[in-house]
Amino acid sequence: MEILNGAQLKEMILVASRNLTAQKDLVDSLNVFPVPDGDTGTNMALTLQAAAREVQKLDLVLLGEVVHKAATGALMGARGNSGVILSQLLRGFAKGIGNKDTINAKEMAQSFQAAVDMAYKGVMKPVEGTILTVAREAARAAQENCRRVTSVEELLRLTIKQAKVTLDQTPDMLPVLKQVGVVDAGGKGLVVILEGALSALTGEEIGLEPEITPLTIEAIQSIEIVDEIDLADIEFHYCTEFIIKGQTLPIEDIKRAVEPLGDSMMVVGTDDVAKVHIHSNHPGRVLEICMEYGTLHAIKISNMVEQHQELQVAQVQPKASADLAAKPYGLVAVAVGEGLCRIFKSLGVDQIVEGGQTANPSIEDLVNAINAVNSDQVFVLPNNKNIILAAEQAKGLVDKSVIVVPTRSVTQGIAALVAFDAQSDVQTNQERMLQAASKVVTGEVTYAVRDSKFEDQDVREGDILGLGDGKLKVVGKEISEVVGDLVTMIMPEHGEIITVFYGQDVSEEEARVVVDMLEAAFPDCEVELHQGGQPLYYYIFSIE
Amino acid sequence: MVSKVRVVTDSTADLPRELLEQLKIAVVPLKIIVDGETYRDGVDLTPKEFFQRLPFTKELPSTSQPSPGDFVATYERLRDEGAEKIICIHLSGGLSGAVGAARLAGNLVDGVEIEVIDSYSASVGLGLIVLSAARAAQNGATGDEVVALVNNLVQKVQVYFVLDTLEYLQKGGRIGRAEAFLGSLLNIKPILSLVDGIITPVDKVRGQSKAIERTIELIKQSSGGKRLEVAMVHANNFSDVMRLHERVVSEFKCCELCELIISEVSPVLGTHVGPGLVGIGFYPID
Repeated sequence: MEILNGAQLKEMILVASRNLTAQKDLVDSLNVFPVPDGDTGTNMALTLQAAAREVQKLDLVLLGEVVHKAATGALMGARGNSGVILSQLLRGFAKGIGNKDTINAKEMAQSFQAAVDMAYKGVMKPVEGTILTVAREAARAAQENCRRVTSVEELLRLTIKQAKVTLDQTPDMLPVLKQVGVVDAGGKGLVVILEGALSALTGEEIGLEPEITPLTIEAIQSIEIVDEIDLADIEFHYCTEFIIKGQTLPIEDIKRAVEPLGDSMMVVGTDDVAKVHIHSNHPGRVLEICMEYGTLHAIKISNMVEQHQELQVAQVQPKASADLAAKPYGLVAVAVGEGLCRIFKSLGVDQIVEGGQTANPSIEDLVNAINAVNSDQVFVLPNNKNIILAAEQAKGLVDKSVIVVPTRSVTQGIAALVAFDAQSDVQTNQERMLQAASKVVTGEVTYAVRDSKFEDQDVREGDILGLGDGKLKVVGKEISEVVGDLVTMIMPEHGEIITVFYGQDVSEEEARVVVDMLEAAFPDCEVELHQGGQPLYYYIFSIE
Repeated sequence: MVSKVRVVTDSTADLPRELLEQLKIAVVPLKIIVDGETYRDGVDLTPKEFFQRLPFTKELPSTSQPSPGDFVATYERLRDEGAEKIICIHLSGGLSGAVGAARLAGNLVDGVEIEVIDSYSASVGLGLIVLSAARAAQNGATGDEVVALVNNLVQKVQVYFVLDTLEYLQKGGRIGRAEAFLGSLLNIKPILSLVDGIITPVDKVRGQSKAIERTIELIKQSSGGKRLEVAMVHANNFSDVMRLHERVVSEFKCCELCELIISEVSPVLGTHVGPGLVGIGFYPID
């Protein structure tokens, strides 16, 4: 048709609103900009619903009145940033239409442009790669095409086509989109709205079938496909499961393409996200076929025959280049014990060198660790007085700038790491780390490996020894008692937190008993328990 | 007689009700959605009620900015009460679209001059600016004078927040630059601030006492011995905010506000920072 009137526009708004509401979860799931709070779809849907409600009430369907009521309704009910921008688009559109009773294709294109102008005006700092860009490019396409296209329907179709093209380009404009691997949520919302409007004009059904409720990406990813296999007669060996992300995924086509390759096939999803599951002897071929439809994620291939073998392939698409960039500072620490290593990693250590109280790492081990860090400025925490020297030697053997922070225990190392600040300069960090390390009081509880003497006491092999900051302080027969006595002896004046790391020869239950004892004996202190997993030392603890 | 210059803010200013009423400050509430029900922040749901419910909610409550219509309604009401100039001071635009919606609404209301200012702050930082503006307005300052005062304070006001956990900030999407602090398995207290209106990490320490001491140190560093106007806030953690209060009062020369303002964080902010938070807003008085 060549012209658009009020009754048609009313219908377009109502259908667009229904369409967006039906797909709001999908739009929500794309939301990472400006904040990843996952509500763009909901906000846009609620905003458009507010517009639709106003329009629904109208008996007289004059074009000007319909569009102005929609714009006002949207503005009053606008939710969230995306809702506000949508309401601005509507306002601009309304301004473009003015008082006309009908518009032709050219006037529609002009009104799209007016919508974009109003939206850009309303945003303090417009960002490219968002709904604004999609709208702008769509309006431009409309302006270009209205010279040769006189059908309103055709123009809208072409506008939507451009909007989709631009939407696909948004990850190239906004880095955070590329990192997460999604297109812009607001842009997607706009496309959904325009598609709804078009379908009202043409009477065609769009995308989603009413019986299928839109699935969020999480929902699709978490679909558990339980295999009931009789291991005796497995014909197809590899359970293959992955997600395809793309545009207008042809679920039926994918099913047909993959089916011949195995059995127990399932393909579920929506336009943009689908989960594929199949038992096949050629998992590689399955992947290759599906790569034609989009990008593959969360790929899991397991050999069902050999139950223990599991092939897990990370994302096929290259990750954002941010991962590979060099960091300004690197951290290397020496530690032994599974729990302690985990804790050091969680505090930001890049390379852990196994060593400590039993086997001191070699200079080569330290050199390798320093070189393995993707940074030219490296801090090294030896965490043992015997390793400080080796670390200093290693420093001279590498090309990088290395600072050895002379920590004498893992507890000092941890304190130094807490004080580390990636935003500060090298000297400040060195000072802060040293200061923090020196303020920690360290206790260690282990056993005597031979007979000896301590002050006036005889120490027998197997006796329990308590050391404070490396010096023998307490000898006893019972671990828990020695811990208590040691803490009492070395407790500093304003000690407030006792952090206890239990070693590989201690069970969690035993450790908890010791913690209970400490909490009772020192009610003003907080006692924190962690699994250290260290050999030789039943307990290592810090008092801060 | 109601002043011709009126001050508007939003519910994240965390100001006590008595002060709001006394100074005739209008508040446009943000919205908090708990288990599907929408509440007006601080109006339909108080901080106490919110923190009582929080452990039992099915999912983390979400928040949303006021719609332009909400601002329009408030501006029109104030205009009809005789206002000639309305000064609106709001939560940082880096954390919420509220200030943007307020600006849009400002363009829609005739018959009164409306100026919308981004505080670049939140909670009691925002609250201190609003208080100062409202006091000035009540004491007869002109619209322009109040605006100048506000713009000056926006530069001077600072905040520090000590959080129990970064989990809520991360889930709510406002963690900003503090993302660098994530991941530690140890119990570490992050100290955060707002720089250019965005959450920024300042330091991290072990233990609440150390956190309070470090905060005092930080305030000392930035206040240079001057007298301070101070306000404190907490999220279901009255005992720790009182410890902070004790230290602040003994270390700094504070003005009268310091004795009065210990506020509880609004539900909207509460869902983004989590229980346990202790915070302080301050600015030096020359």
